[in-house]
Amino acid sequence: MKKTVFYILMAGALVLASCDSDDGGTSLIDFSASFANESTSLSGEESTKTITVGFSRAATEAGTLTIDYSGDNAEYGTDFTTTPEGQSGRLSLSVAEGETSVSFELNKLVDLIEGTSASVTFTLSGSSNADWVIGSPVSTVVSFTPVAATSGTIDPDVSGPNEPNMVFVDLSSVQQSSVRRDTWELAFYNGTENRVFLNSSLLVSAAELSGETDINAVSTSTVLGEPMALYTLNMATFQPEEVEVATVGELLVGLPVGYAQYGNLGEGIRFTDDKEGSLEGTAFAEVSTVPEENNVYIVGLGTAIPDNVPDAGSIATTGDHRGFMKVRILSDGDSYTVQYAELDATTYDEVTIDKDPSTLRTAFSLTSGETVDVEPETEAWDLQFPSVFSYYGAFGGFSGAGLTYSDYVVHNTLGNVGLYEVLTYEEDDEGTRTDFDVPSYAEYSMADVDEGSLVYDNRAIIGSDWRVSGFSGAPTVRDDRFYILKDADGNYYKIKFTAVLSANGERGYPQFIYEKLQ
Amino acid sequence: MACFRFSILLFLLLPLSVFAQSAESQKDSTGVTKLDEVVLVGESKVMSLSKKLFRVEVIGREQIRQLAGNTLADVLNQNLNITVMPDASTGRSTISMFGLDGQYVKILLDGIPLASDNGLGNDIDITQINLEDVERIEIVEGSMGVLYGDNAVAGVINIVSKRGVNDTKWSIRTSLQEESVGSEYSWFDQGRHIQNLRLDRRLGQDGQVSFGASRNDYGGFYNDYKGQDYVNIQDGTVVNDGLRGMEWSPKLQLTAFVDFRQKIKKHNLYFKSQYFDEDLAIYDHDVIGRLNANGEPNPTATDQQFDTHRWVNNLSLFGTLGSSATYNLALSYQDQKRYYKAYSYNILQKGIEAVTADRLNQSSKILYSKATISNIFERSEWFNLLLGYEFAHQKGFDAIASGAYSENLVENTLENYDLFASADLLLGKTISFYPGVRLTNNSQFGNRLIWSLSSTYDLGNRLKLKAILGSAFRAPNFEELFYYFVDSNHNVQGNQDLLPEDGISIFVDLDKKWAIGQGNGLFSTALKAYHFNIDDKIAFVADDSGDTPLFTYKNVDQQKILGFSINNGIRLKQLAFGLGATYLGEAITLDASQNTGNSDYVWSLGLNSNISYDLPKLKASLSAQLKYTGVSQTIATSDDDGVVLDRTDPFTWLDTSVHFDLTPNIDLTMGARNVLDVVTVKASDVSSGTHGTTGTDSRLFGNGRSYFLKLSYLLTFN
Repeated sequence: MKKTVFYILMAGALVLASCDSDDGGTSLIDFSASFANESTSLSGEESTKTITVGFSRAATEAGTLTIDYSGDNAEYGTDFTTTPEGQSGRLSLSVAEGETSVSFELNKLVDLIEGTSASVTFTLSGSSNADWVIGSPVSTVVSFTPVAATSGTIDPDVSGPNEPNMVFVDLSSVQQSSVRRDTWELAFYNGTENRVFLNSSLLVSAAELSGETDINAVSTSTVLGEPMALYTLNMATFQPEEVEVATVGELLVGLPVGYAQYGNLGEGIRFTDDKEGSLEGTAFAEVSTVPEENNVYIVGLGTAIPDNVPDAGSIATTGDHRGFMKVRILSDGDSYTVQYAELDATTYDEVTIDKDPSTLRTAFSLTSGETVDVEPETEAWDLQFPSVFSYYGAFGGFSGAGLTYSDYVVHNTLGNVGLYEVLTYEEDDEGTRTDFDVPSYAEYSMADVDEGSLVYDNRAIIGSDWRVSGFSGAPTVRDDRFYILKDADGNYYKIKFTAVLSANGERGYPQFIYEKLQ
Repeated sequence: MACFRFSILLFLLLPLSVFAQSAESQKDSTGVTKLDEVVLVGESKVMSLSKKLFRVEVIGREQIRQLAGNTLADVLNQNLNITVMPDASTGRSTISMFGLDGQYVKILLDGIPLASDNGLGNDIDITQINLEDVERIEIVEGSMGVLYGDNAVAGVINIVSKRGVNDTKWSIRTSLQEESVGSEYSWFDQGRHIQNLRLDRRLGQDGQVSFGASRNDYGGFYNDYKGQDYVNIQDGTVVNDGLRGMEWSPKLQLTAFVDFRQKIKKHNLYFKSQYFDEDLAIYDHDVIGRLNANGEPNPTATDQQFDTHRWVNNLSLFGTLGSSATYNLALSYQDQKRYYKAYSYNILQKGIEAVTADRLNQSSKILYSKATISNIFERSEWFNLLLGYEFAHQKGFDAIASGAYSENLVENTLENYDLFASADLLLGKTISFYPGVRLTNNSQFGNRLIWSLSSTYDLGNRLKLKAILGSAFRAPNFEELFYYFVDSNHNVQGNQDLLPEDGISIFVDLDKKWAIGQGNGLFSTALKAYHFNIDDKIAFVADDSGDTPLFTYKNVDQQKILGFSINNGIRLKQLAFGLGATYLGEAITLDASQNTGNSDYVWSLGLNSNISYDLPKLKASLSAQLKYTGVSQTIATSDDDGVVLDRTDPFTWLDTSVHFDLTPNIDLTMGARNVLDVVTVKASDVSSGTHGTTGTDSRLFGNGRSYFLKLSYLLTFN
């Protein structure tokens, strides 16, 4: 009691003293405490952040400041701690006489992985000294900067033996997104060039009608300006056979993707996009900004996703053919104009699609006439599981054939993702195994990375070779290889597939693990 | 190790034999004596005609005993003109006879064709035919289409059921057989364990009822594989090295039967009902190494189980009508079902994680009847006629033969109505002709004619010449008719418009016997030449006439087989010795209309020899059988560079055994199968690179050298 009386008296004396100062123009300014910034961040590399509370002047007396903290998606004790320690959402800082600031530390306990957010808000809530004022900013938000994930296990949602989904995977954020393969047929490039991609996942194919620019004039019976000299694979002899195509109707026979699909690689005629995924390799020629230079195309809409359940270990990915449409595409450089109609229609629909620079491509459905949300933002995916993948190309002894794969994987070459394969051993026909002098997946480190091996001009390095027909029919994961990937942000990862089948032996359940190289 | 295990086995069996000994002394006190097995009622006449027309090889009880044969696959290995073709992936064994596969051979049980997976009598899995209840196996060589219908091209194998003893009211026979599988043996999980029981009860003077059961527990063959619970985990992930599972899958077979025989004056009735059950477990070589939510491997594998049930009900009536006409009537109802179960096996937790399929995937129901009547013309010296009909109604489906992806597992029905006649023309004492003809009406391909003409010429002095000329007629099988597998990359379909294969077969057989030494010594030699010319042979071909290329079956190939064999036998006192050789050539014209294939013969050599020697004082006999199968080549495909031959290396199969009559009621057989330890044989048509350990292209033929021991006990009393 005596002490209290003493303090009150002392305070009174001080007030008097300050009055005196004011009077003399030499009185101290108000003592106020505030944060330096309203927000700050804790970068991926930092594990602690020093947060300073500044004073308006040096403290003329000792005291304590109390700071309340609250975490958003961050919990004291598991995600962060402070020094000095806090309790029940509050920590106190001692202020000694003469100090102009105090600081405390925020300690990060767990790295925040890309794709999520977390922050801690500190608020000055009080002081021990009655005349201490709390200035502005009264609180500061410390957000944790996300870091690239250091490892992960991904089960891409290919979704079973019909492989109905295409899946995009981002390694640094351990995220995936999926969309049904049959929701779109064409995709328009959002970069500088005016390019049109086909949905190879749905076996979509397209053939240009040379010299034909009037979409309404095209029908099944249209006679081509010039007959096309093409090849097909004779299924009885497995030898290429010449075919001459003079009408649209004749062209339709060899337009769908299949071993016997028409083409002429020698003349550069291919009704699919190339396997490598280059801008130049699309079935559609580059769209010209001069309208009359853009011809009509016949688009084979690919095959429906079947819904029958095949035997365990088998797939059923291609159902009935979805028919044909005619399409003509124009561009002004910033948008695409799509003219499309049923093959034998005499009128057409038209849609304009603006380029969206946040994604590589904008997908479009010819059947619904609308754009479809398919790809994540350009930087937000490294690998794609198209699941089903088709193209026209050489295969084994075939000089040219329409090929369809399942369990397929490509990487985002157009989004500046590079990848290479590491082979650890090979077995020859006699079964003799040769081990290569390379580190195993477990041993592979940053020092082993060969920057020059990263492939940026072929998306199909992983392809379907990560799995192989098994000892007893159903596919198995090849254990002789793993992959090194460098994402657009410069993170290096090693990737290894662990499963192609579900635990019950059903196809269409891939799984892989990866680790960031340090 | 194997020897050690065997000594344990012997030790374990010792008390049994002691028990048997005491049983014997008991029996002595009741005054029961050992009796030979004798035929109770008149033998079915089904095969007697065949013997007149064709050459019949018999594998008797004695030989089955020497080989300790429990299934047909155990004994047919040693036949000169038959090759057993085992398939490790399915556990099935089929046969090839005179170079023609199981489709061309008909297997009968007491003269009635046996239900197979998708047919009647042909392409039978011979490991499923139990021999405990079998008296002998008759192998009839030659085109038998007139008497046995379609698919009896290379010949017929008839399994004749055992009759009981008839002098005592009761007889009980039990036997135990223990066998190693290669060097693998353990009391429960490895090796082969067989138990048999048979009961006979005489009913009055002319009747008998029998019951029997046989259990065959085959533990499978591991070879280099490491079993169901094997997984290789390194650095936290599964290494799928393909070593899980087994080389040969384990299976458990149970065969049970009831037999009833009754003679009523000149008529005989025989009814047999046999039930067969087989559980086959197939462990996948692949391990699925998915990581669980905690990032730890949760290895699983998809294993399969096939459960086959077969129920055979055969009724035969035979006897004489009037003064001399003999008749034979057979009725049969058979039902075979195969259940399929697939499950995901959790290797670390050693249990089923989920059942992924559980369904009936094969079913066939067969109604069958056949009757013959002969000797209609009373006591004609030179002419005799046999008339008969055969009817078969098959209804069923088979998921395997219909294609794994097939959604239309439609039940299909095949019906056959056949009429046939065969005549004997005896022209003098030395020469006779047997012309025969069969009109077959099949619900799939309509009316067809099958014919044959045989002739015997007795040159005197125990020298006989036989010649058989006939159609080589094979009906298309279920798979060829109804297979269906269509998706984006495949279009494989059966062809319902297939016609039967037809052609000509010729057999010439020269037999000579000489008496040698004292007593009943005998030297015999048989020379044989045969030729098959099969037209319209069904082949798997590509058809690009439609919009989408199709793989299907068509009647386009032509196959020719030409073969010679010689068989010599000596029987002298306690010694019997046989030596045979066969030289077989095959020529296939692929797609005969275009003449693209080669028609040169490719030849292969086979040798066999057997020896047995009796030691009467020891009440023992020794035997050994050896068969050499030479390099075999088959024409696989032809391309621009000519014909491609698939080659299988030669291999030799040697079985040895010793048999003891320990007491009048107990006998013991022990021996070694596959003494030369054949497991795989190099073959060029087997794809390589899938097996982590062998590496080379080889076909599995055996389990390696195996040892067996069989103890039988017979108890008879009134």
